[in-house]
Amino acid sequence: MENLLLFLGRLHPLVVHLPIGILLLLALLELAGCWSRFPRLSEAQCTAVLAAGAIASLLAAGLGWLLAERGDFSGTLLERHQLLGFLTVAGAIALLVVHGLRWRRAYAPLLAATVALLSAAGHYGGAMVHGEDYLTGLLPPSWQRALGVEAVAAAGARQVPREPATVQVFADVVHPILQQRCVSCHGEAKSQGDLRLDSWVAMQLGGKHGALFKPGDASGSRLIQRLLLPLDHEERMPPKTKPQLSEEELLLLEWWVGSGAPQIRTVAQASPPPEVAEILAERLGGGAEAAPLPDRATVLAKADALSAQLGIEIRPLSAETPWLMVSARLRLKQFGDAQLAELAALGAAIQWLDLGETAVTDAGLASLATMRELRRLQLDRTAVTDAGLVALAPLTKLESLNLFGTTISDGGLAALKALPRLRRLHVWQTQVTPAAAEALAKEQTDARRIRRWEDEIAARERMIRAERFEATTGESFPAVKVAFPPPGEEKAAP
Amino acid sequence: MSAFDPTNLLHHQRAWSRRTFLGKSAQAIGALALGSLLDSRLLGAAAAPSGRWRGILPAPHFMPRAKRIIHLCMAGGPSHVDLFDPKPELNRLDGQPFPESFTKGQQLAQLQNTVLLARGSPYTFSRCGLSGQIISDLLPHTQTIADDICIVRSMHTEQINHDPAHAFMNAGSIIKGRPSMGSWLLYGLGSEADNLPGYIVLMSNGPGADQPVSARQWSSGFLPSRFQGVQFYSKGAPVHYVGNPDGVCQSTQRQVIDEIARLNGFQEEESLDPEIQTRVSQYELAFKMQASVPELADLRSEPQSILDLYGVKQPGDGSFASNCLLARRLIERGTRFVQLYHRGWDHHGDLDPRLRQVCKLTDQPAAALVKDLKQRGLLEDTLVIWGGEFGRTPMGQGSGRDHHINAFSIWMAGAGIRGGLTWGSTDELGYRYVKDGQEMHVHDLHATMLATFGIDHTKLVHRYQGRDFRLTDVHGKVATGIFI
Repeated sequence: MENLLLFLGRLHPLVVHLPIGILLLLALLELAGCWSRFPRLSEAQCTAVLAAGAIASLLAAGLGWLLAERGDFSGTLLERHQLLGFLTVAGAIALLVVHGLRWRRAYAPLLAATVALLSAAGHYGGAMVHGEDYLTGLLPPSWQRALGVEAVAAAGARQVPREPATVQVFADVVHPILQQRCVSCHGEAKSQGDLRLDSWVAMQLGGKHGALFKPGDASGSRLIQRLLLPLDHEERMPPKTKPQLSEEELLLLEWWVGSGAPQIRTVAQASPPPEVAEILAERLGGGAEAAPLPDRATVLAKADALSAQLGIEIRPLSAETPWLMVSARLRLKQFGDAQLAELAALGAAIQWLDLGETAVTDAGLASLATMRELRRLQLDRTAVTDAGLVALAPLTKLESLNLFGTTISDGGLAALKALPRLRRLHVWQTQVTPAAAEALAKEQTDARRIRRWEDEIAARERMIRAERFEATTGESFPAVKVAFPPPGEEKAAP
Repeated sequence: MSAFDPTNLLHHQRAWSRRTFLGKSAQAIGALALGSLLDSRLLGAAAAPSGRWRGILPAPHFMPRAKRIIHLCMAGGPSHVDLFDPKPELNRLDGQPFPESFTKGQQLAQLQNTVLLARGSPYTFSRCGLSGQIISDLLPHTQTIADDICIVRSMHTEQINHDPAHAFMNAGSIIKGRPSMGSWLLYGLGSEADNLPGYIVLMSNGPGADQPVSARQWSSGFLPSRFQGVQFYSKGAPVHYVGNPDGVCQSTQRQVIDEIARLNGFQEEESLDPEIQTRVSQYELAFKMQASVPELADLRSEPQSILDLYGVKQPGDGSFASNCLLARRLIERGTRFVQLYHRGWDHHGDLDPRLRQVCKLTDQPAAALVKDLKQRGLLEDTLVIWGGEFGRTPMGQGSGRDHHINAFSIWMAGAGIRGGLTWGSTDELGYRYVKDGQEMHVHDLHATMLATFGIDHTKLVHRYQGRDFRLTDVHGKVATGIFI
């Protein structure tokens, strides 16, 4: 029965459009009727439409009430929507009465008022479903200011400090994540499941299913459990249709909850484990490490100039990225170390570089040091030797290296072991022996597989830790409690 | 570079009336203004300093995998059930009536209104390489590259006769005047070769020369003719009369070319015809080819081991082997699209000796090409496609097989295509592709081919006669599953 009522309640968003349509159409027709060339509605027609509007609005309001009683809605938005909705119903019925009594003076103002109430109720209803800044969030900031609807985040934003000693774990790290991903449904305006995540205090109150936290136990806390449920699960948060948390955000929340979900604690005091520290460093702008994307327009302008000057082929790799492919191959021996040095000006944007058959030598390879984005490098049939390969060490993103037809030997291969992403190496017609090449390939394949396993295990571990059995006896916490040592003890154990 | 983009065929008006002129001028000024707002590279910058065409697309739509393509076109229609798609059930039915449930109401070529008998394959197959791909023992060399190629068993086309089927395979349409895929690619991306055409076609045949292949297959259609394929002779000198006649030296030649270009310039200023641009650039290219072609065709620089790898007996003898080697040399020199036709696969009769013979002529060179590209590191950004314009019936036709459009097999290699993968399948008799999400229509092949170059096939368009045309017309699905 409960479910049936909830089912009916969920028809509210559908049915609600009926009175909206009827009442708006009536208002429109009445308005048009003031214009002499447009036929007026007859009294009987008008009564019929008004009756339909009143019945439809009554029905919609009834269904809405069912939904509000049983559904997961609460908050100021709901209160306003409800009040305005009931007033609209009252208006629609009053209209019917006024029209029936032929009280013409009151009719027009009452119709206008009802339409206004209807619009306002509709607005709040929409805001409940889509979030308050569904429409206005897309406007330019100046318009938003004019409308007085500045983005929620902007209003309460505080300048995020960068030093671990001053960064607040909740205020600067956790709160922004919740604001971005959760608060549109679990906030002051709309509090689904009676849960608010917009402040630390509100979070302590929990929701209608009980408390959010189990002190010190991240995977035992409802907040984290909901986040880790499969995407298709009914209770999964955020729901499938909403923007999801990234892996990093999840890890940060887990860490914060696991450390007792404190309100006031700096990153330095919380002493995060290395993987969390890494993410924190990145998010809080350890800017020096993550180089910004080169500006496409600047890169292309420079590329055109260099392409004309050096007579080589420089093209953008794709329409949306600043990355370039460069081919000097057709210049053959006219392209040497000096020209390569000039190319270094574009260094940060080059991903594919074809220097095959050119006059480039070991000395010139030093210019490659700036080309940290390089993915493919062709040096076939150049004078490059074992000694020169050491210069490739900074190319940590290199995936493919062509050394065919050079004089490199087994000794040179050692330098390539330092390239973490190298997958393809072409050493046909060199002094590299098949045995050495094969040994390198095997060693690197193994190393890569191990690295991959480690990554996979780390990613899976958190999901596995969330796996558990609960037997509830109506208490807000599981009756079967898993013992866990206090944080200090865990580390001390061998 | 003239004031107008030669490829913009909106301006392709040979004789302009006053009214047209005024109308078009207003449009052109608007277009110029808009163009400079959008991307200054769109206008004018398509040509390199040397005048070489660099493509209508300022950049690929997404990250590319391929820079070049070699299409090994096995003209006549190789039999898929004898080469890449073994069918035990068909062998069991050998000589018995072909089930009518398969063929009822279907279009057939020469077998129309005859009694249809199943023909099993007389050949054996092996599982090859680490991937265990199944390849006929008629192709022992292709078997050695099993882990480098992706065999597509679910190809199907719409045209059941050679000429229209070639047109369909090339241009995605049998209507004359549609550009071939090589022309589209050249139009979109241009070429990196300064002194060779960007789209080159070579032809070989044997055993015996069956169906001719018309030069319209590599036409540029409604695109400016500078994007059409250029056929090189595969026997003797690739281009005739490329040397200067007695008494003419290169500097005289240069002066002549420059003077002609100047004179053509006058005409162009008057008529704004892109074909004049084409002519000027072709003169210039031909001049450069006087040096580049003899160098290209000089196979003496290839060591004996390479000649042996391809099975080249006599360089420049017009064989498929010699053409494959030339194809490699062409893409090394920056040519964007090389198309090798080998005529000799149309086995309506005498399937047994003739299929063995043509395999013997083409198997080793095709496999050698893939191996050679691989050892040079070129396979990373070169797409190789092997396949015919259609397949052959699982039903017998005398001692051979008829044309078949509902299923045939091709293979692709390089450019990030997953080697060792068998993509798609056919029913138990090899009659029709199976709809399992891996079916590949010719339009899908085109879409996938363009995708390896980073091109969204729905966005490489050319406006002609008031409509945007594209290689895949209104179809095409990229087979993303075949990429690594």
